[in-house]
Amino acid sequence: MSRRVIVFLLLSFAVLLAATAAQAGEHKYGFKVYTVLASDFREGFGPDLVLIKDDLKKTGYTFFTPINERKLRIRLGETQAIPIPGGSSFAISPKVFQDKKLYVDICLTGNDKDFSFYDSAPVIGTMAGKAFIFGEDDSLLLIGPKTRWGSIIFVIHEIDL
Amino acid sequence: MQRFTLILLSTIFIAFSALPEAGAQRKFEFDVYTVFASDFRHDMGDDLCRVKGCLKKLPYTAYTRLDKKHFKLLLGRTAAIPIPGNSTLNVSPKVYYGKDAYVQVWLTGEDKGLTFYDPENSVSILSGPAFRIKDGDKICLVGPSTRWGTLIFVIDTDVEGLREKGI
Repeated sequence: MSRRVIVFLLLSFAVLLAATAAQAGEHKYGFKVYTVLASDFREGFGPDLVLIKDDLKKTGYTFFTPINERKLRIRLGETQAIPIPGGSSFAISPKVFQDKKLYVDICLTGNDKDFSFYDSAPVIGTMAGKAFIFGEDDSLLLIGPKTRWGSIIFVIHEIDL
Repeated sequence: MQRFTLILLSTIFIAFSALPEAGAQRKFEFDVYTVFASDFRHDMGDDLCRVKGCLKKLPYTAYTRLDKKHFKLLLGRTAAIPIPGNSTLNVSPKVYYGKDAYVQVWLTGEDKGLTFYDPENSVSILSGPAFRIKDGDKICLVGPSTRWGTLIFVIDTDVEGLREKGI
């Protein structure tokens, strides 16, 4: 094989690799996030919570009302935040995609920045820190900050990899 | 004549004694909305359209309905409505004067120290401070708060109007 052909093949391979990497960087991962106020003062579910009713029942609260519902599309390395009551935001940041699994960092910013979801949930460590692992169509329920009225619950649903 | 006077007096006496009875039988019909008001976003739930005008006067940007209850109470009776935070909102219509109802509202439980009355928005009746509510009116009361926001209570007496509109 001539040196010219080898150089051409190497160049093509490099271009292909760069294109694949760029495409991976462009890909946006989809999440539907429900923010729910959970309390005990009465029983029942607010509207639009049918899809996550079974998840919410596991929390031990008796009353749930949706306070926000957002669809997010986020690239690897990016962070998107959803404001919540109390001067805080719920931040989601996909870190790594490997073996059909997405590693996502989830935290609160603002007044509740010291609150950690990782203390009470099974998580994995990545090079970029702790993360939750998602497969296609997985869902995740997280119990957030509390006041004497109850808790703010987050349900991440309809994950699109 | 003496007999006629006696009959007349008896009739007047019966009529007077029946008056408070009739007043006591009159019922006060109303809806109570419990609303969570906050500032974290801009939103007014669709289920709050009836009381939107009242809520818009408050300095919050997001309103979520937590509860709505309907009552038809005899004067002197009390409606107790559980609210978040181990407290209860109590609404008690005390007396009618023409088309005005005098209604007392207070909290029990953990928030029992909070009062809704100030001299500008209330009047005094025999049993203490009360709100004067005209038939068809609404009153908006600012309740307890946490760092998330505040509970707002709307007492809506436009129940006849709702029926006419088929709502």
